[in-house]
Amino acid sequence: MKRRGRPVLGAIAGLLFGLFLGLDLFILGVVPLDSVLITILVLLGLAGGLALGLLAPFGPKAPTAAEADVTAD
Amino acid sequence: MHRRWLIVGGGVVFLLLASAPVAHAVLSGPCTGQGTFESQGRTYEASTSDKLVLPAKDSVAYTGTIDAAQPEGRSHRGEITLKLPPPLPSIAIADWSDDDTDALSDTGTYDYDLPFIVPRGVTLNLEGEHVDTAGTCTGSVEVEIEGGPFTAPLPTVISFALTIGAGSMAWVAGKAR
Repeated sequence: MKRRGRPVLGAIAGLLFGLFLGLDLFILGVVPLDSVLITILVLLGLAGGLALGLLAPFGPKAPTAAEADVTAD
Repeated sequence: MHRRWLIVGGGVVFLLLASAPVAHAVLSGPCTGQGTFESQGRTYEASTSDKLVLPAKDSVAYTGTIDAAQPEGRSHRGEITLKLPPPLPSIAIADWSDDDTDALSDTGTYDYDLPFIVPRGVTLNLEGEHVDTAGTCTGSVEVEIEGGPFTAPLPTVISFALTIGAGSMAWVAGKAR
Protein backbone atom coordinates (compact mmCIF):
# COMPACT_ATOMS: atom_id res chain seq x y z
CA MET A 1 0.00 0.00 0.00
CA LYS A 2 1.43 3.34 -0.99
CA ARG A 3 1.59 5.83 1.87
CA ARG A 4 0.17 9.16 0.92
CA GLY A 5 0.03 10.87 4.32
CA ARG A 6 2.71 11.71 6.87
CA PRO A 7 2.57 9.07 9.61
CA VAL A 8 5.65 10.28 11.52
CA LEU A 9 4.40 13.87 11.59
CA GLY A 10 0.96 12.54 12.51
CA ALA A 11 2.30 10.50 15.42
CA ILE A 12 4.36 13.38 16.84
CA ALA A 13 1.60 15.95 16.34
CA GLY A 14 -1.01 13.58 17.77
CA LEU A 15 1.14 12.90 20.83
CA LEU A 16 1.59 16.63 21.43
CA PHE A 17 -2.13 17.22 20.82
CA GLY A 18 -3.03 14.63 23.47
CA LEU A 19 -0.48 16.04 25.91
CA PHE A 20 -1.67 19.64 25.55
CA LEU A 21 -5.34 18.60 25.58
CA GLY A 22 -4.65 16.87 28.90
CA LEU A 23 -2.93 20.03 30.14
CA ASP A 24 -5.96 22.12 29.07
CA LEU A 25 -8.32 19.81 30.96
CA PHE A 26 -6.09 19.99 34.02
CA ILE A 27 -5.76 23.79 33.92
CA LEU A 28 -9.55 24.11 33.61
CA GLY A 29 -9.95 21.86 36.65
CA VAL A 30 -11.72 19.05 34.76
CA VAL A 31 -9.24 16.30 35.69
CA PRO A 32 -6.74 16.00 38.58
CA LEU A 33 -2.97 15.99 38.01
CA ASP A 34 -2.50 12.26 38.55
CA SER A 35 -5.53 11.19 36.54
CA VAL A 36 -5.07 8.21 34.24
CA LEU A 37 -7.17 10.08 31.72
CA ILE A 38 -4.20 12.36 30.90
CA THR A 39 -2.01 9.36 30.04
CA ILE A 40 -4.81 7.85 27.98
CA LEU A 41 -5.26 11.11 26.07
CA VAL A 42 -1.54 11.14 25.19
CA LEU A 43 -1.69 7.54 23.95
CA LEU A 44 -4.91 8.17 22.04
CA GLY A 45 -3.35 11.26 20.46
CA LEU A 46 -0.32 9.21 19.39
CA ALA A 47 -2.46 6.42 17.93
CA GLY A 48 -4.92 8.85 16.32
CA GLY A 49 -2.19 10.96 14.71
CA LEU A 50 -0.43 7.86 13.41
CA ALA A 51 -3.68 6.50 11.98
CA LEU A 52 -4.44 9.86 10.40
CA GLY A 53 -1.05 9.86 8.66
CA LEU A 54 -1.31 6.23 7.54
CA LEU A 55 -4.87 6.37 6.25
CA ALA A 56 -4.62 9.77 4.55
CA PRO A 57 -6.12 11.21 2.52
CA PHE A 58 -9.69 10.92 3.66
CA GLY A 59 -12.80 11.54 1.62
CA PRO A 60 -13.80 10.37 -1.87
CA LYS A 61 -10.93 9.17 -4.04
CA ALA A 62 -9.87 11.50 -6.84
CA PRO A 63 -10.04 9.78 -10.25
CA THR A 64 -6.71 8.40 -11.50
CA ALA A 65 -5.29 9.61 -14.82
CA ALA A 66 -6.44 6.41 -16.57
CA GLU A 67 -9.95 6.74 -15.21
CA ALA A 68 -10.01 10.38 -16.27
CA ASP A 69 -8.98 9.34 -19.83
CA VAL A 70 -11.76 6.75 -20.02
CA THR A 71 -14.26 9.34 -18.92
CA ALA A 72 -12.99 11.78 -21.56
CA ASP A 73 -13.39 9.16 -24.33
CA MET B 1 -22.72 -2.77 18.10
CA HIS B 2 -22.05 0.96 18.50
CA ARG B 3 -24.20 1.07 21.63
CA ARG B 4 -22.06 -1.66 23.21
CA TRP B 5 -18.88 0.36 22.61
CA LEU B 6 -20.55 3.49 23.98
CA ILE B 7 -21.46 1.63 27.18
CA VAL B 8 -17.94 0.19 27.53
CA GLY B 9 -16.35 3.61 26.86
CA GLY B 10 -18.70 5.34 29.29
CA GLY B 11 -17.90 2.75 31.95
CA VAL B 12 -14.15 3.26 31.51
CA VAL B 13 -14.49 7.06 31.76
CA PHE B 14 -16.66 6.70 34.88
CA LEU B 15 -14.13 4.38 36.53
CA LEU B 16 -11.27 6.79 35.72
CA LEU B 17 -13.12 9.77 37.18
CA ALA B 18 -14.34 7.82 40.21
CA SER B 19 -10.82 6.62 40.99
CA ALA B 20 -9.50 10.19 41.37
CA PRO B 21 -7.47 10.44 44.59
CA VAL B 22 -8.79 12.17 47.70
CA ALA B 23 -7.03 15.09 49.34
CA HIS B 24 -4.44 14.07 51.91
CA ALA B 25 -1.14 15.01 53.49
CA VAL B 26 1.67 12.57 54.18
CA LEU B 27 4.68 13.10 56.42
CA SER B 28 7.12 10.36 57.31
CA GLY B 29 10.29 10.46 59.40
CA PRO B 30 11.34 12.07 62.70
CA CYS B 31 10.41 15.63 61.66
CA THR B 32 7.67 18.15 62.40
CA GLY B 33 6.94 21.38 60.61
CA GLN B 34 4.47 24.21 60.50
CA GLY B 35 4.04 27.48 58.67
CA THR B 36 1.94 30.59 59.25
CA PHE B 37 0.93 32.40 56.08
CA GLU B 38 0.97 36.13 56.75
CA SER B 39 -1.81 37.18 54.36
CA GLN B 40 -4.18 34.49 55.62
CA GLY B 41 -3.12 34.56 59.26
CA ARG B 42 -3.46 30.80 59.32
CA THR B 43 -1.03 28.17 60.57
CA TYR B 44 -0.72 24.82 58.83
CA GLU B 45 0.85 21.72 60.38
CA ALA B 46 2.82 19.56 57.94
CA SER B 47 1.52 16.32 59.47
CA THR B 48 -2.16 17.16 59.80
CA SER B 49 -3.03 19.49 56.94
CA ASP B 50 -5.29 18.28 54.19
CA LYS B 51 -5.60 20.23 50.96
CA LEU B 52 -4.33 23.80 51.36
CA VAL B 53 -5.53 26.84 49.43
CA LEU B 54 -2.62 29.25 49.29
CA PRO B 55 -1.88 32.66 47.76
CA ALA B 56 0.53 32.89 44.82
CA LYS B 57 2.70 35.31 46.78
CA ASP B 58 3.16 35.53 50.55
CA SER B 59 5.48 35.45 53.55
CA VAL B 60 5.59 32.30 55.67
CA ALA B 61 6.77 32.17 59.28
CA TYR B 62 8.03 28.60 59.55
CA THR B 63 9.26 26.24 62.25
CA GLY B 64 10.87 22.86 61.60
CA THR B 65 12.21 20.31 64.07
CA ILE B 66 13.88 16.91 63.97
CA ASP B 67 14.42 14.26 66.65
CA ALA B 68 18.03 13.10 66.90
CA ALA B 69 19.66 10.93 69.57
CA GLN B 70 23.09 12.37 68.74
CA PRO B 71 22.60 15.90 67.45
CA GLU B 72 26.29 16.87 67.23
CA GLY B 73 28.17 17.06 63.93
CA ARG B 74 25.30 16.14 61.63
CA SER B 75 24.91 17.05 58.02
CA HIS B 76 21.63 17.71 56.32
CA ARG B 77 20.01 18.95 53.15
CA GLY B 78 16.46 19.44 52.03
CA GLU B 79 14.13 20.99 49.52
CA ILE B 80 10.51 21.82 48.84
CA THR B 81 9.19 21.59 45.29
CA LEU B 82 5.85 22.21 43.66
CA LYS B 83 5.03 19.53 41.09
CA LEU B 84 3.37 20.80 37.92
CA PRO B 85 1.69 18.76 35.19
CA PRO B 86 3.90 17.65 32.30
CA PRO B 87 5.41 19.19 30.22
CA LEU B 88 5.75 22.00 32.79
CA PRO B 89 8.80 21.75 35.09
CA SER B 90 8.67 21.41 38.87
CA ILE B 91 9.09 24.68 40.76
CA ALA B 92 11.77 24.81 43.48
CA ILE B 93 10.20 26.67 46.39
CA ALA B 94 13.06 26.41 48.88
CA ASP B 95 16.21 24.42 49.58
CA TRP B 96 18.76 24.23 52.38
CA SER B 97 21.90 22.34 53.33
CA ASP B 98 24.61 22.28 56.01
CA ASP B 99 27.61 19.96 56.32
CA ASP B 100 28.06 20.45 60.07
CA THR B 101 25.18 21.32 62.36
CA ASP B 102 24.01 20.62 65.90
CA ALA B 103 20.65 22.33 65.51
CA LEU B 104 17.48 20.33 66.05
CA SER B 105 15.13 23.08 64.93
CA ASP B 106 14.98 26.10 62.69
CA THR B 107 12.63 29.06 62.54
CA GLY B 108 12.42 32.00 60.22
CA THR B 109 10.40 33.84 57.63
CA TYR B 110 10.43 32.91 53.98
CA ASP B 111 9.02 35.00 51.14
CA TYR B 112 7.84 33.27 47.99
CA ASP B 113 6.36 34.45 44.71
CA LEU B 114 5.18 31.73 42.34
CA PRO B 115 5.90 32.23 38.62
CA PHE B 116 3.08 32.82 36.15
CA ILE B 117 3.27 29.29 34.72
CA VAL B 118 1.81 27.82 37.92
CA PRO B 119 -1.85 27.05 37.15
CA ARG B 120 -4.38 28.63 39.52
CA GLY B 121 -7.42 26.98 41.06
CA VAL B 122 -6.34 23.37 40.49
CA THR B 123 -4.90 20.75 42.82
CA LEU B 124 -1.10 20.46 42.75
CA ASN B 125 1.34 18.44 44.85
CA LEU B 126 3.77 20.22 47.15
CA GLU B 127 6.56 17.83 48.08
CA GLY B 128 9.39 18.20 50.55
CA GLU B 129 12.26 16.17 51.92
CA HIS B 130 14.87 16.59 54.63
CA VAL B 131 17.82 14.21 54.44
CA ASP B 132 19.68 14.27 57.75
CA THR B 133 22.28 12.10 59.44
CA ALA B 134 19.61 11.50 62.10
CA GLY B 135 17.06 10.32 59.56
CA THR B 136 15.19 11.18 56.41
CA CYS B 137 11.82 12.92 56.35
CA THR B 138 9.59 13.14 53.34
CA GLY B 139 6.23 14.79 53.00
CA SER B 140 3.65 15.83 50.49
CA VAL B 141 0.47 17.82 50.62
CA GLU B 142 -2.09 18.84 48.06
CA VAL B 143 -2.27 22.58 47.46
CA GLU B 144 -4.41 24.85 45.36
CA ILE B 145 -3.18 28.29 44.39
CA GLU B 146 -5.87 30.95 44.83
CA GLY B 147 -7.65 32.04 41.67
CA GLY B 148 -8.90 30.31 38.55
CA PRO B 149 -7.73 29.45 35.02
CA PHE B 150 -8.08 33.06 33.90
CA THR B 151 -6.66 34.78 37.00
CA ALA B 152 -3.21 34.51 35.40
CA PRO B 153 -4.42 33.79 31.85
CA LEU B 154 -1.06 33.36 30.10
CA PRO B 155 -0.56 29.63 30.85
CA THR B 156 -4.16 28.91 29.87
CA VAL B 157 -3.85 30.82 26.60
CA ILE B 158 -0.46 29.25 25.80
CA SER B 159 -1.83 25.77 26.51
CA PHE B 160 -4.87 26.35 24.28
CA ALA B 161 -2.67 27.73 21.49
CA LEU B 162 -0.31 24.73 21.69
CA THR B 163 -3.29 22.36 21.55
CA ILE B 164 -4.65 24.07 18.45
CA GLY B 165 -1.17 24.11 16.88
CA ALA B 166 -0.59 20.40 17.51
CA GLY B 167 -4.10 19.59 16.27
CA SER B 168 -3.44 21.54 13.08
CA MET B 169 -0.18 19.66 12.54
CA ALA B 170 -2.01 16.35 12.97
CA TRP B 171 -4.61 17.52 10.45
CA VAL B 172 -1.87 18.40 7.95
CA ALA B 173 -0.42 14.89 8.47
CA GLY B 174 -3.74 13.52 7.28
CA LYS B 175 -3.63 15.44 4.02
CA ALA B 176 -2.27 13.96 0.79
CA ARG B 177 1.39 14.70 0.04
